[in-house]
Amino acid sequence: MKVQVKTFGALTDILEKEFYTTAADTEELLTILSSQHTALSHRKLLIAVNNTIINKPVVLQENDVVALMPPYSGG
Amino acid sequence: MRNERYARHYVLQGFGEVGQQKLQAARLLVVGAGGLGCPVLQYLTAAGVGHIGIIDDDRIDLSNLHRQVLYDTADIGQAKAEVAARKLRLQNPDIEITYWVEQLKSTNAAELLQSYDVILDCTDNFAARYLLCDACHLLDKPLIFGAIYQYEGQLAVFNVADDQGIKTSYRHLFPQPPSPLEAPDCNAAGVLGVLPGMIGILQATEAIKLLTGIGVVLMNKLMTVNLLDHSTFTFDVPPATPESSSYPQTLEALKDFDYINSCASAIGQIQVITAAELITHWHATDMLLVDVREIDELPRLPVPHLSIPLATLPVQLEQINSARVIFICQSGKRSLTAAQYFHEQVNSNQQIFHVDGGMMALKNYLND
Repeated sequence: MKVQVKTFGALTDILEKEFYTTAADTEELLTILSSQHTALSHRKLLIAVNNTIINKPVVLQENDVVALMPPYSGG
Repeated sequence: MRNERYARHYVLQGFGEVGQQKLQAARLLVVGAGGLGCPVLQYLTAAGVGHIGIIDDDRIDLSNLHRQVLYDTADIGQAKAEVAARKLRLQNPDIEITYWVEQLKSTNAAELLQSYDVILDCTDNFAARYLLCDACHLLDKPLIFGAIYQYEGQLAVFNVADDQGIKTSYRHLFPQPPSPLEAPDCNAAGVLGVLPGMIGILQATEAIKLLTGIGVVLMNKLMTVNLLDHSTFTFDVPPATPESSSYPQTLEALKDFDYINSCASAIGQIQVITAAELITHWHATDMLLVDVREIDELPRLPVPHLSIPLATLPVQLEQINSARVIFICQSGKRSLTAAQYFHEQVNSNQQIFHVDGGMMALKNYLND
């Protein structure tokens, strides 16, 4: 499925802020991105699909918007 | 009794004297009197919150002043909590302010938080954030969370039930702390001075809404703000319970929990070695040297080793079966990532090392 990915915080140093890619589910999406960008592998990330945070892998539908966000610590 | 100070609140439709009385009756604790804490404190003091507690063990530094607008140049070197309390008392002598020049710790958290109605997380590190998350969860205290990174902010209200009785916490967003390398603080990453002002004022706004019952509080949501493109997003936070085995389930367990080390454990367990130390170690029979660079990266290691590019490490963990393992890469960055990953994934007694400065440091050492 073709999905839009939006990235936040320090992830924009590794990935484009917004881009389109193809993946069947969120797990495959992360595997693909991690294989292309080693700095991404095993990072603690929050994943949201269509503005809802997920806590287990989710099957992606055409045109879904996937947000990838790291925790921010600054204050 | 009407106080002219709050005249514009009294006439504000939906707020009025009732809203002001609710603020006057409230006890609110601000943890951290830095970038987020300053605007939170200034606005909640101005708004007439009856009792405000401040806890911060840090001192004012010149590099704080571009964003921590409560402090003057003459205050440098003084304790933030103390200076903040002094200035806020001048700003509004009608309210009560208590301060502690102390660090919030697992041993004092429950006692400090106990008497407050609402807690504001204005801290600047993960150890404090996870401690506050767990302590407020166990004490069932509303926690208003703000965090910043460069030009972006996160905002959420935890432990407040929605109309279906659902409450969520920071562990619903990020169940486990990241390594400090993954999330640099303001000192390392820089921050636009106005950003904490904006996020802090949003935190203060949520506090006022929560205390007075106006509007819709940001519970079970995560809001993000990006100052560079004025984009905001609001994400729904699912109610599923996070894995409970790795954080304290009682106030007693909280006291014994080591947040400092749990937030840095991935580094704490990994020994950093220099290129010179690498050379003394690399022929040891119980030692496996793992190069996590891509296959074609130069220069090549001049000794026997295993080549496992970082991206393929997850599927090749079993190959790393020696008593001691050294990870190396080009600059020392990927090797630390690899070492942390290996440490997290493989629960064994293996000793884990990574080479500071990587192949570049080794090359320089051999050339000297």
